[in-house]
Amino acid sequence: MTVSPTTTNLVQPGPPRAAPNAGLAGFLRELVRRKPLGAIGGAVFLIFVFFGVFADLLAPYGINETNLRARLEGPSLSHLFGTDHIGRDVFSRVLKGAQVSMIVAVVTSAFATVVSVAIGAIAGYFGGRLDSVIQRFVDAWMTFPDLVLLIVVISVLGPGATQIIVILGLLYGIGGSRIVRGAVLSVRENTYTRAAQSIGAGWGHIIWRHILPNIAPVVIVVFTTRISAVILVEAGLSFLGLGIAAPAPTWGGM
Amino acid sequence: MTEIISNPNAVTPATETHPLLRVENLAVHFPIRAGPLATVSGHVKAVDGVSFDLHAGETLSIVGESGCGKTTCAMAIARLQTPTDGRISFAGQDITDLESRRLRPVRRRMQIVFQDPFSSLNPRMKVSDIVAEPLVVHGLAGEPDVLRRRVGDLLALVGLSPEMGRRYPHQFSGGQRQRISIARALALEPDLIICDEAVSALDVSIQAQILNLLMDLQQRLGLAYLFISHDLSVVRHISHKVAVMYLGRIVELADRDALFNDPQHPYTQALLAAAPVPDPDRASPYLPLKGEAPNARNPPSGCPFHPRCPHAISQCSTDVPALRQVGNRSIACPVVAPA
Ligand SMILES: Nc1ncnc2c1ncn2[C@@H]1O[C@H](COP(=O)(O)OP(=O)(O)OP(=O)(O)O)[C@@H](O)[C@H]1O
Ligand SMILES: [Mg+2]
Repeated sequence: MTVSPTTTNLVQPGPPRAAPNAGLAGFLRELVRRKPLGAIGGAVFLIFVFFGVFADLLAPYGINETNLRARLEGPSLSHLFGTDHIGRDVFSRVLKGAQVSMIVAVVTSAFATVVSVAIGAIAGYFGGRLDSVIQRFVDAWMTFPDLVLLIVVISVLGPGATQIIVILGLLYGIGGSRIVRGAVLSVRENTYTRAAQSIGAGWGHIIWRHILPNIAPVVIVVFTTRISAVILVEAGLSFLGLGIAAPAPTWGGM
Repeated sequence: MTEIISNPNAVTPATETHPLLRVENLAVHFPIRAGPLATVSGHVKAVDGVSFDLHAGETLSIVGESGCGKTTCAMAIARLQTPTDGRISFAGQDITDLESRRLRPVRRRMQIVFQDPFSSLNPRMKVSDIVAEPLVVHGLAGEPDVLRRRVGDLLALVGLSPEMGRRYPHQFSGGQRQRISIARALALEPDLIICDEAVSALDVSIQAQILNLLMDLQQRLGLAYLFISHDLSVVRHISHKVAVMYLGRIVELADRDALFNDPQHPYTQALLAAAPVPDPDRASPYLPLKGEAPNARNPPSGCPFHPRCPHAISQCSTDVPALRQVGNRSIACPVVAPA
């Protein structure tokens, strides 16, 4: 859980940028021309998402369909990625595993982002003693090694998607609140926050209407970087047998 | 425009005992932190014992050099900055320590136009939403149609076209943004508007237009203004009373004509002498300012103005002069107005 120490410059005030070339086709052409690496990455990502979303339609076999006569086979035309020790089709399970990983990653990151924004916005907006108390709590929380905490909780509660979402969401959410807090601190200094106070707006209104829209770029980054992190951790946990419960396919578990 | 007039509490009955705004001994000191442990090594006395009364329907201007504490004073009065000392009363009610829930009705009647037009408007909000926000916050928005017309009226009032409400602040110039701020301040039809350099960013013709608008609204609605400016000709045009500030203190406070025609405090005289005069033959008889404006972190002892004062006597470097009523004005100077 790495947290960048300087976050004050992340927020750039200013207008949402308009695409120079209208239309999806124009945008894609522009992207390939100006950011070829980004375009390749985007293409790979979209292919994965496509297979994940349509896993159930694309999979040639059922994910738990066993064929004991075809155990541990190598790749062939009938089994593209071969079969595992009880004759399940690995390609089908990889597709389905992508789906499971993606759902867990998106839900966990969304939960983590909500936690980060709630803690970061309150600490940053109110500042003072409340902020100090929250920051010391975050410090203390972050001294726990992630994996150890996960292993302890899962060995008590048993493996499962819900456990992973809640625990990883809290872990990343509390850590990520630092980044949100930094962004809030810099936005709060703008006079329009004071203007809102001066007309009598309450703190909920100010955070919702004035602070959050202006830290949206930071929140989006927090959300997206968490997705990849969660996929990796979830794979690691499943590999250790502590992730998603057994017959369900995950990339780590296979 | 017509809706602007229908404000039931526009005019507060102000008696001699109940000015609309009373500021008593207001002080705002900022701690100076230094060193690795950020220990407090001193204080900037940005505002240090300011007192004045402002009556309904009146304009009181505060003038003074950059850094003398005008904005800080305004922030403290609007309860956006916690005062170190002193009392602030609005319409007879002490608001110095009012908690935010009880402050809401006061905020409805006291609006502020901020000095910096570039950071005082939220870049992610449409101008129409910015102007409508005070009404929304106070639950006075009403039907969407009515609100839209109301916002259009407010924009028209400050010389912007209602269609401009669909745009975002970055699509406006500094002067236009300042007018948006003014429209926002007028939305609630307050009793007091604090204008912190509200027209300084505007060009002369728009400035005149806005000043006339402010004065017109004052006549019709009985608005009071606390008008902060460094532009003496603007101040002379709009004010009933003028307070001259120097390093966190008021040094002279008088009716406009008394102050401009017969300045008494050496600093007021110097300030007027520094202002350009339309007729060079009538050049000011007063001595211009010498020396640098002192640092607010490390103010001179005694009267803060004494190192630059042509009339300073030995007492000036030791005793801080109090603001004293002399004739038609209040003045803080032992030479001009001895105890
Ligand atoms: N938050 C703060 N922390 C520390 N010092 C401050 C703070 N705000 C203002 N000051 C100091 O207080 C003094 C008064 O500042 P203020 O902004 O009130 O001046 P001003 O009269 O409005 O000047 P100007 O005409 O340039 O707007 C200055 O010396 C300034 O450096
Ligand atoms: Mg100022």
